[in-house]
Amino acid sequence: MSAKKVIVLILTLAIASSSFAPTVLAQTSVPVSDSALRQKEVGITIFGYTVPGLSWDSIALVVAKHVIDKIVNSTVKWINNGFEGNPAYVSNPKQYFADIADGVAGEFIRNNKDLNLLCSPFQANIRLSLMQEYYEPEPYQCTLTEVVGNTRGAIEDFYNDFSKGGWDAWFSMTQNPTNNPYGAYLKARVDLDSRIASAIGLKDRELNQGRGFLSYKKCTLGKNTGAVNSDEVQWNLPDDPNGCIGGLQETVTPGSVIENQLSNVLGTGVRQLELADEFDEIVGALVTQLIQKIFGSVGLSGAGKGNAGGTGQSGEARRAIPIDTDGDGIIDGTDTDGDGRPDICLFGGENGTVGPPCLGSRDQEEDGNVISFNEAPRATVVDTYRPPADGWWSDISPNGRYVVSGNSGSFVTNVKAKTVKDITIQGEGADCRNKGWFNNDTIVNWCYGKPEYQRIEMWLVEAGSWAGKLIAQMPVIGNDAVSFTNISRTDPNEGHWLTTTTEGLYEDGVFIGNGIGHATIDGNKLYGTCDGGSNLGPICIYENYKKVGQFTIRGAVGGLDALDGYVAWGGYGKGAWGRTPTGRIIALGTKGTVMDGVPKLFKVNNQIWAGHFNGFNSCLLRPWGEKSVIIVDDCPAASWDVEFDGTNIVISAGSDRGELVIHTISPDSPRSNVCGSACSDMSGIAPIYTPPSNINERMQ
Amino acid sequence: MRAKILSALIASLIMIGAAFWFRFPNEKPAESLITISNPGSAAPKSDIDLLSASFENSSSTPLSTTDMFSRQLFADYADLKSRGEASPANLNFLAERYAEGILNIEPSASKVARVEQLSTIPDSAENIFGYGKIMIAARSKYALLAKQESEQVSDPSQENFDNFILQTGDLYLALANELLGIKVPASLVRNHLEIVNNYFQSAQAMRTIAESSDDPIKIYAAIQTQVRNAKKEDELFLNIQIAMSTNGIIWTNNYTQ
Repeated sequence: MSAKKVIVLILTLAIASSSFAPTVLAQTSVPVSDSALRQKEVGITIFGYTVPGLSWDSIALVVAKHVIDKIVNSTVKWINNGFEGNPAYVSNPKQYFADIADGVAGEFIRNNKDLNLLCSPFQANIRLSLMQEYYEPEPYQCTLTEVVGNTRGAIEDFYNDFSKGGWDAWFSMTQNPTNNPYGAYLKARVDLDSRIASAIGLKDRELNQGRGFLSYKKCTLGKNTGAVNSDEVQWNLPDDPNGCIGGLQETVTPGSVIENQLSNVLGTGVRQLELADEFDEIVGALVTQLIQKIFGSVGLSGAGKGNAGGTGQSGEARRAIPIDTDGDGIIDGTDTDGDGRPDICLFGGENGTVGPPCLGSRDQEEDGNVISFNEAPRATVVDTYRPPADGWWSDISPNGRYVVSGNSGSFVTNVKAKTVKDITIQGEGADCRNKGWFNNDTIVNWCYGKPEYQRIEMWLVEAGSWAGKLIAQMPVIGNDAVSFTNISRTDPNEGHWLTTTTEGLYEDGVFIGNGIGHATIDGNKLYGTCDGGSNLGPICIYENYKKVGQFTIRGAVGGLDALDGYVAWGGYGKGAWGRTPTGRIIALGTKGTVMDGVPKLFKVNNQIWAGHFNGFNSCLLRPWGEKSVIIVDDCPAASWDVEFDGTNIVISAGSDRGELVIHTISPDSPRSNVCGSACSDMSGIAPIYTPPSNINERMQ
Repeated sequence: MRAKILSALIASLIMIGAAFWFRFPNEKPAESLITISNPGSAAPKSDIDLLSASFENSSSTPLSTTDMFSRQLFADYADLKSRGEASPANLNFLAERYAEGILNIEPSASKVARVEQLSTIPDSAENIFGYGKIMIAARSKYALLAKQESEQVSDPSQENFDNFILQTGDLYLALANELLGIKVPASLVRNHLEIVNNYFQSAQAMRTIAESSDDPIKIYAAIQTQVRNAKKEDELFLNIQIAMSTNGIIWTNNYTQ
C-alpha cells in the first residue's frame, strides 16, 4: 500500500469517527438576534422589545435574596418543629457534637508527628493526659488504643540506667521540654488548645463570593415588642429594623441564624459545629451557582462583554470578582468588566441592583425608591388643634398629654381635651415663663418675683391641679441676673434642670463650667458644646456634674438634644447629625436635599426616633438611622417639640408669630425616601476623648 | 508493507480513541470529593416526588419546592458534617448538584398547541408575504403593549414588578391564542407551531416568576425557561425572515423602539 493510500485510510477513518460522535449543541449557521445578551445586560426582551433597566441579572439577584430568606426561614421553622419526624442526623446530638471536638483532638493525638518524636517512655503518658483532658469519661471516639504503642528506646534505657546516657542525656532531658514529661505535656497542651480554638471558629474568616448575598440582620438589643429574649435571633427581620430596640441591628448570616435556632433546640454544644461558616458556604455556593448558571445560560461566559466590547479573549469567560466597597467584610457587588468597580450591586445601585454606583452593605437599609419631597405622601394626621395660647417655646410632657408654651407667660394645653390653662401667675404674684417639663407631672416655671423682692424664683407646677410650689430663688443682679436657660428634656422621675448665669452653666444648682453651649440633659449626663463659641464642636460630656469626655462632630451645632445615650445636633445649614452610644456619627437629616433643622430625639415604643424641621413648613420624622421619613406639613417650627403618647406622635409647632399648632399623627404614617444615597453617608466613629483627671479642677 | 498498514491503522485508532476520549469529559468528582452512597441524598433530582418522599410532612401545610430543597440541603450538609467531610470542595460539589437540580425542575405544564389546530395554506410568495405581514403586525402590537406595561416598572424589587411580569405572561398567552387563528404557509407550519407553544410556555414561565415569591426556587427554573424561550423565539422568527427573503421579501424582525 502506498503512502497516499495510508493517508486516505487515516482521513477516511477520522471522518467516519467524527460522524458517529455525539455532537454538542450546534450553533445555528445563521446569526441570530442578540436577545440573550440584551436580556442579560440591558433588559429583558419581550416580543423583540427590550425593557430598559430590567435585566434577568437584576431579577436573579433579587430572587437570590428571596431564596436565602426562604431557605433559612424554612429550615429554622423545620428545626423548631422538631424536624417533623426526621431526626436522622440529630437523634444523638451529644454524639454529633462531641465528634467535632473529638475529631480535632483525636487527629492531633493520633497523628501528630511531633508527638511521635517524644521520648518513648512518656510519649504514651502525654497522649493519655491529653485524652483525659479533652475527652468525656465515655469517649465517643476511641483514639487511645491507636496511640499507646510504646517501643523501648534509648531514653527508656537511660531511665533505667544513668550510665546509658550520662550527663549529656540528663541535660538533654531537662533542658529540652519535649524530652521530659512535664514540658512535653505543656507544649502539647498549648498546641492542642490552639488547634481547637482555630477549629471552633476563632480564626479569621474569609468571605467568599457567595457570602456576599448572605447579609442578614438581627436586633442588637432585642426586639421592641413582647417579652422576647434579647438573645433570640430575629431571623425574619432582614429589612425591618423598626422592630429592634433603638433600631439597632447587626449583620449575621443564615448559618449563624440556623446555628442559634439549633442551639435553642439542642443546647449550646452546637457552637462546636462551626455550622455557621459552613452552612453559609453551602448556601452561598448554591446561590452563586444558580446565578452563574442563569448568567451563563444567557451568554455572560460566551457572549458577554468580553466579546461584545472587544476587551476580552474570544470565547473566554470573564471571572466575576466580588467587591467589598465599604470594607465591612460583606461583599457589596460583583465586578464583571475588570475595572475594579462593582457592576452588579447586591445592595442597590442606579437601578435597584444594577449599578454602578452600588451601595455598601452598611447603607443597604432602606435603599428603596427615592421620591421627591413634593411628591412624597404626607403623614396620617389623627388630630390637629390650634390652641388660643402663646405658642412660643412649646414643650410637650414626656407622656404626650400636655403642651406647655409661652414667651410672655406660661400656658398649658391639654392635647386631647383641647383646653388651655394659664399658669403664668404663681404664689403672691410671681410672673412666670414656661421652661419645660421636669417630668411627666411637673412643669418648671422661672418667674420674676414681686418687684419688691428683687429676685428670680423657680416654681414647680403640678400637672392636673396646676398648683405651684416655690423651690428656689436667686437675687437679681443688674436687670436680669439669671438668664432663663432652657430647662432641657428630662426623663420622668429623673428631674434635672439647667441655669445659666454670667458665671456659666449650672446643673441642678451645681456649677458645671463656662463656655458650654446648647446644653442638654440626658438622665445624669449633660451634653454641651465646648468649642469656644464656634459651634463646630467638640461636644463635651458631663456626668454627675463632672466632665467625663468629649467627641468631635460633623456639621455644626445650632441646637443639641440627647436621649438614652444618643446625641443629635444640627443647624446653620450644615445638616442634622447624630451620634450613637457606640460612637458612630450618622446623618440624621437629608443632607441638603431639603433644608435640615436642628434634630430632636424621642422614643416610639422604646425605639429612638429623630425629627427635624426642613424650612418648608414641614417636619420630618423617622426612626434613628433610617432614610425614609414621615413628612408632617403645617409644621412652622420657629420653636417646636415632639413626643410619643403611647399610641401616636404628638408635635407642637409654633410659628414666628407665636401661633401654636398641635398635630397628633400615626407612627405608621407612610414614610418616603426623599434623599436616597445622599442620606447614606456614615462618617465613621467619633471616639470619646477622656480628659486628664485634673481637667475639672482647671475648668473651675 | 503490512507493517506500514498496521502502524497506520494503529495510529488511526489512537486518534479516534483520543477524539472520543476528549468528547466525553469525565464529570465525576475528584477523588477528594465525597462518595455519594445515596443518590437521593446528595445528588438532588429534578423529581420533586423524590424529595417529597424523603420528608414526611406532618403539618397540614403542603411543603413547597423550596421547603423540600431547604430540608434536603440541610440534611445533606449535616450528613457531611457528621462524617467530617464538610470540606469546601464537597460543599461546592453539593451546591453545584443542587443548583443543577433546581434548574432542572420541570416548568409547570403549559397549554400545548397541536398541528391540527392550525390552518395551513399553500407555499406561494403571496401567502408567505401575507403571513409575514400578519406576524409583524401581531408581534409589533404586543411589543407595544409590553412597552406600555413596562413603563410602570424599572426595578425588580418594586411592588408592581410581579404585576408587570403577570401582565407580560398574559400578553404571551393572548398572542399565542391569536396566532392559532391565522393561516400558515405549509413550509412554516412546524415553525409556527413552535412559536405558539413557545409563547404558551413563556406565559406559564412568567406566571411562575410572578406568583412564586413564596417558593422562589421555582423562579430560577422559570427564568431559565424564559431565557431559553426568548432565544428560541428569535431563531423561529429568523426562520420566517429567511423564508420571506427566499421569496424576495426583506423584513426586520426587531421591534423598533
